[in-house]
Amino acid sequence: MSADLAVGAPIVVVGASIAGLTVAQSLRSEGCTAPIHLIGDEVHLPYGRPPLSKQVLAGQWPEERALLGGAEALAADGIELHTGSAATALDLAGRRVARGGRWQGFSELVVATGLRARRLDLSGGAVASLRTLDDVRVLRRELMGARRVVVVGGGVLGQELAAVTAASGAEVTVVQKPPTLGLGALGPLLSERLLALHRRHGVRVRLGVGVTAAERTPDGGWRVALTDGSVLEADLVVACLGGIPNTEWLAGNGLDLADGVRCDAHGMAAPGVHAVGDVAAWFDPVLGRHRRLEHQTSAIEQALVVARRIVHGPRSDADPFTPYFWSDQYDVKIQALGSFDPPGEWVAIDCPSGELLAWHRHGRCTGVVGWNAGRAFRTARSLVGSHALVA
Amino acid sequence: MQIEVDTEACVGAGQCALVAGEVFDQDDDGIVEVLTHVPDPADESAVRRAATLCPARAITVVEN
Repeated sequence: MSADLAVGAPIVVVGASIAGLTVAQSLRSEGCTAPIHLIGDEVHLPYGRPPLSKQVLAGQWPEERALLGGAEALAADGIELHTGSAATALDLAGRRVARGGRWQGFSELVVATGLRARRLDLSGGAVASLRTLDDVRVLRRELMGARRVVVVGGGVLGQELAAVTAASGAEVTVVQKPPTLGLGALGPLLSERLLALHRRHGVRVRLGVGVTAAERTPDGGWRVALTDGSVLEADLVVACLGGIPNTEWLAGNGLDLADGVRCDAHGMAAPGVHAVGDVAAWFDPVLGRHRRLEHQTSAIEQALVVARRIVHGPRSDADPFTPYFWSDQYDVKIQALGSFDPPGEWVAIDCPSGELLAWHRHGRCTGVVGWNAGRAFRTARSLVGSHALVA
Repeated sequence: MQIEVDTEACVGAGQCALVAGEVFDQDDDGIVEVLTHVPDPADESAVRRAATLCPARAITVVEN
């Protein structure tokens, strides 16, 4: 195997979803003229994940609309895109990554390898998941003609899937092991409201219950056994059990990989090695701890910070960005800005239509939730304690 | 520079209105409204940031 010399070696971005793509493009817009390699293990051109569980799954958008700009734009920017190509190892001391049986040297490395869906291993066979474009293609096919659907996992993804599936007329049951529905830190706080929303649309939600076993039936369906002794019959079972950070390929280099790639407040994991997006656990100076966020907006903002750091060097001032996420379920748009650590309390804010709820801790608003709040959600930014966007 | 927005893709995050308030606003539902499709040169860099920050990639900037 040959190795490129470190001098003049490219900036290598491993992971070609929103975080990796944004780093690559931002490096150029920050004035970087070095070669940039963008490596993606999926065969598809870079695409965004949020529409997959919403418009694409529902059939409202063709897949192409989820793409994040094509190969031409990248080529015009002088970004070398390699799809269907996984990085299999890192040699930090040698400043090189292994890919396709070759070592490639890098001047800077950005890890943006995201998550893989946590699989549900059942004796009955493979259970569908919902993370990639390929997953959605399979699901769309399997949903046709599926009258009874069981969604294992009641987090954001499971809820969105339930909403889309229920709209297609299927009988949906969500099985959630924790005692409340999940929505990141908001789960326990909004659970009652979310439960009511799903039940209003005919979706059954089983809380505090897990799956013990499942078997296929002769007609291709499933019999799913639950921890409370009951059994569900389904045509389709989908697992929405969160994701596992793709960090195995980084092992053996002394990086902290306990929960994603641990980084400082600006995304640096080691000199010349950065991580962004779902895989990255950044130190949050406002919270005083590391945290791994799985939000599209955080991925983008982290990517901007890292691109700037690579081009302009470390910045002494850390501009904390406030996490924002949204979820579309049925006819409800849920928006959330900030943090919702307990203990605290909800304070209702005047809102012309829909609802705005502020989360107060020690007399300070740390987060705001909008429930079909529309334009009024903008006031949320001025209410939340730390609201500076990356400058 | 010219701006195009995909109002169907817009998710109402409001990042655009925050970083380039002279160019972007939101309607009552939170969906993006373009105040001027040909922004002032002084606002161009803010518009590019808005396009990058948009979580839905609903903003297209056409550089002339």
